[in-house]
Amino acid sequence: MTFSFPFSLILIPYGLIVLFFVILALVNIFHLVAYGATNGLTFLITFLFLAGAATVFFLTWQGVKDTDWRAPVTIGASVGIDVSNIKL
Amino acid sequence: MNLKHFIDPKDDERIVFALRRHPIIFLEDIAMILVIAIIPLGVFYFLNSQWPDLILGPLTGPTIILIASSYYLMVWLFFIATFIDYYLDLWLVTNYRVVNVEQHSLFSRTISELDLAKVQDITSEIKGVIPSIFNFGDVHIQTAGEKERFIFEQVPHAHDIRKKILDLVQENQRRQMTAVIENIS
Repeated sequence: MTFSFPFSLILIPYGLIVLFFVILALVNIFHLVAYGATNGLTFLITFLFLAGAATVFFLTWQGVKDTDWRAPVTIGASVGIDVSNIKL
Repeated sequence: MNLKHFIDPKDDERIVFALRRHPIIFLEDIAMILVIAIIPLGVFYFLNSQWPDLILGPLTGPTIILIASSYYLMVWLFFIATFIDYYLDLWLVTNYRVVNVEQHSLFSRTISELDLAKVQDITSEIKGVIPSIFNFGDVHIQTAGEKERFIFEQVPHAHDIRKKILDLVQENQRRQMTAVIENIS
């Protein structure tokens, strides 16, 4: 028995992870501001954090931009071995 | 730093010093984060040498990229959470009291304070090779008749801080004595 689904489904768990990241990032930055820790060092760390996150997203985009998200992923298909080139 | 963020200060109350853990403690955490960040590079090198088609595959390649991206986003969250835990743990010493601000986790924070008049004994301790080299350690503040409530952990110049707090305690006692004498007379 086999079934297939579009490859784009893999973006759903990734999207959830990104959502989790964004929520916790905002909570963290809110903590720094709310507790009065707004000085040069905290601005630098916040800038580094945002720049690092942007870099991760940019590199991810560069790596997956040419992906065919409509390509089907088949699970449970039989695995065949091509023996046509084997000389006995 | 504004004292009103933490306590309701008296009119003539001022911060004498604000303490955090020694920066080397944060650098230790950064070193650990770097090690965690390097691990996927080793895995990538291994996969690339054993199964190069896996990295270049039209479906496996993007899957690996998305997994790596998720991993690095979590590492990056760990970095900012570590910094906040380091930076928001704070000990304030004013001319009237000691304030302990402790960030336990992202959603848990404790602020406690202790009157200098209640301080009975202060002990400083620098133990270990790294603390001795970088001159940081713990300062224990003992109050009368109560269990030990305040520990300044891994603060720079622990012995100097003990002396300064003792000076402040004596200054506080003198101020209180003067106030009592003025009231009597």
